[in-house]
Amino acid sequence: MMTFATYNLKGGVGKTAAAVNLSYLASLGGHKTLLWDLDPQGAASFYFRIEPTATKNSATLLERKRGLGPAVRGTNYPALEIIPADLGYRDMDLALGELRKPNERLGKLLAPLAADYDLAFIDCAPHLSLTSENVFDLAHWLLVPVIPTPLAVRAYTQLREFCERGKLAHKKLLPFFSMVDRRRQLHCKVVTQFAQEHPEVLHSFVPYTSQVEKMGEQRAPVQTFAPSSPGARAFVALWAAICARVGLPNGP
Amino acid sequence: MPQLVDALCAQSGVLSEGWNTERRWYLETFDGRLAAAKQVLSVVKRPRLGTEIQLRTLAGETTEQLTSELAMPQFASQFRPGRMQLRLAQITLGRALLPRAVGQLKVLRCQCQDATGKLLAGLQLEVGRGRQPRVVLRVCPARGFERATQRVLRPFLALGLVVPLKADAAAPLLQHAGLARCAYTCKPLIRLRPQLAAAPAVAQVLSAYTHSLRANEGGIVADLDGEFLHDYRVVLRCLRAWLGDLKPCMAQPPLRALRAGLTTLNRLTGKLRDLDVLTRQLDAYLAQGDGMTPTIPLRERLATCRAQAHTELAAHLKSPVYRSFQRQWTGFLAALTAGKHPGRGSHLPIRDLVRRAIGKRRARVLAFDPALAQTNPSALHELRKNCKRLRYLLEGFALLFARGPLRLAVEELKNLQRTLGETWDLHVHLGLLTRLCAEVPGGAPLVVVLGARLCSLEAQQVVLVVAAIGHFRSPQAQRPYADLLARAA
Repeated sequence: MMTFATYNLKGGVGKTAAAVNLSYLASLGGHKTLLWDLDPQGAASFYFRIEPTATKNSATLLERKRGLGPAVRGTNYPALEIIPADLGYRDMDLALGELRKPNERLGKLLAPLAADYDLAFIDCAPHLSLTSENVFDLAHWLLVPVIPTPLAVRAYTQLREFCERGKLAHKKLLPFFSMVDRRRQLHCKVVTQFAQEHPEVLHSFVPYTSQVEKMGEQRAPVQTFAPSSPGARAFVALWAAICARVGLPNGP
Repeated sequence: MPQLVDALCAQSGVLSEGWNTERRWYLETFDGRLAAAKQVLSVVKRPRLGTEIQLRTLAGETTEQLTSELAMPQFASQFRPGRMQLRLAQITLGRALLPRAVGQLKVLRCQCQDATGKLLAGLQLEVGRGRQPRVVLRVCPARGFERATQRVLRPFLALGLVVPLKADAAAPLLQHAGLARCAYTCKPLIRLRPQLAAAPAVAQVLSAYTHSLRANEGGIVADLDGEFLHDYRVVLRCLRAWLGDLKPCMAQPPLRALRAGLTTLNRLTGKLRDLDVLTRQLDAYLAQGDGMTPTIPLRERLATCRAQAHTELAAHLKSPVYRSFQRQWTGFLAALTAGKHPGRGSHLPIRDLVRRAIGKRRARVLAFDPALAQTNPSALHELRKNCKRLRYLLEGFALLFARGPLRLAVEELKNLQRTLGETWDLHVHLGLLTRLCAEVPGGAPLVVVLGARLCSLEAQQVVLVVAAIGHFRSPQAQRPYADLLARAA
């Protein structure tokens, strides 16, 4: 099972939209896909019309003897399943801190499901914590949406430095631009400069479109209700670029 | 069915996607490995929607789907690399996947949703073809929504419109969906009137078996799976055996040429089959060795010999000689059916002729002297051949006899035949391994180790054979035969 995590230190950059749309596209491509909504906000679960669960606390979640299997829910799409958000995730860092080898805990939880799925996507919360380090450890690739603004670029640089410093594989990082408005000069300038400084950036980007925002209203991936919109086409191109980069077959 | 459709559509939150027609193949290995692993593999072709391959557990717990461009996969390795390929490879272990049932279904797909639009379950109404089409409602709850699905289904169950299938096994599904089993079976059962004249009756059975013979030719030439050759040889031996056992109803002159053709086929296929079985058994034999002697040259030599044997057989099956044999055989069957060149017993009722043949074969089996078992492998081989020929008569003409005694008679015989087969395999493998080891550098130590091991196994096996012969000769084992022949009379 190949694992992708959508992560950025900065909030509101389109992590959840990317996780939802890319996991949907992966499932359309014939990969049995699991999406783990690790953000207590539960936006990815909301997009798939699934209510977040409410475990008392993270310690209970982490001590699951039967793994995450019983938490998995089917979505409206055949090859895509989800582990919905849980309110218990809010104090996960505290619970992880009390355990031995805290960086490997989430990987151990997910491991029993590896035989059932081809791909897993993890939608992370926007903070740098023990939970994030667990995700860095278990994910094969970190998809990092970056808004072309100085602050977002700074957040990416911080993440890259953190990975290098902590000997976490920074080669796992797959940054891509999100919410790009090509009418803005600043966006165009930042995109060009960033691409020069960071050759690892994917050349497909997600534009700022109202159709992607409507996902909240439709509670579905953008491809299902506006398949020919620029947003939907951008995610298709982005998924193709990711597949090419990581060596996955794209499409049935 | 209209009631069920109305009820489905009236149910709040059930959205119908409309009727569709799909063609469905159920695949299985020769030896039923998927069924043994409690899996059902089906290939579904839908107009405009492409091909979908489904691997489901028998309990219907998991549905795995994969769209594919493949016309009809024959091996796990032909699936796109991924989880399904891995799982199938683990189950089939290199066996070929063969279509075991095929049919066209009318399918109504529905999605059962809750108030927020969340899918609770996929419902699929499948209607088979035929005069009395059976209907199956397939319910696939979304993971984690099993209880919610139960709540939706409760009204259908209460109305008696739905009867749950106890197990989602392929057999009841095929039956309910009205899917026809594929025509191929290694040993087809032909319904014959007992009083029918022997010549046309035998012609019917030979024709049916000829169909099975031809069904396996392509698989042997392509070297898809050893089981094609196994089935081919079973049919070949049946045909050879019946040409001898039922010869009173056939004219002799054309038989001689046909026998020669069948003998050639038997020789070529036997050589390959022996090497196939040895390849399968070799690991078990070598596991008993000292573990020090290198075995790679032996394995390579075995693979080379097998490849040569296969090339030789495939060349023969594609040769003009074989085509000419096929023409002769077809002509012979046509003449037999038409009553041309009758034998002296052509007018006999088929049941009488088969009964006489069974009586003779059984007498030969019973006449075997168990003392020869210890000293004479050839005599044991003769006994084995007699057992096989007796079994072919019992199974090929099974519908002429009472079912109960026939089943018991075959069971008794199978036990003896299995023991004899294992003994003969050891004998053949010893000869083959001695020859192969002599042909590879440094094979002499292996001959000593393997020879000692196989001889010891053969000696143990002969003891079992003697016991099996004793059991077969006992009045208890012979009672079904007496019943069978008496009732047939």
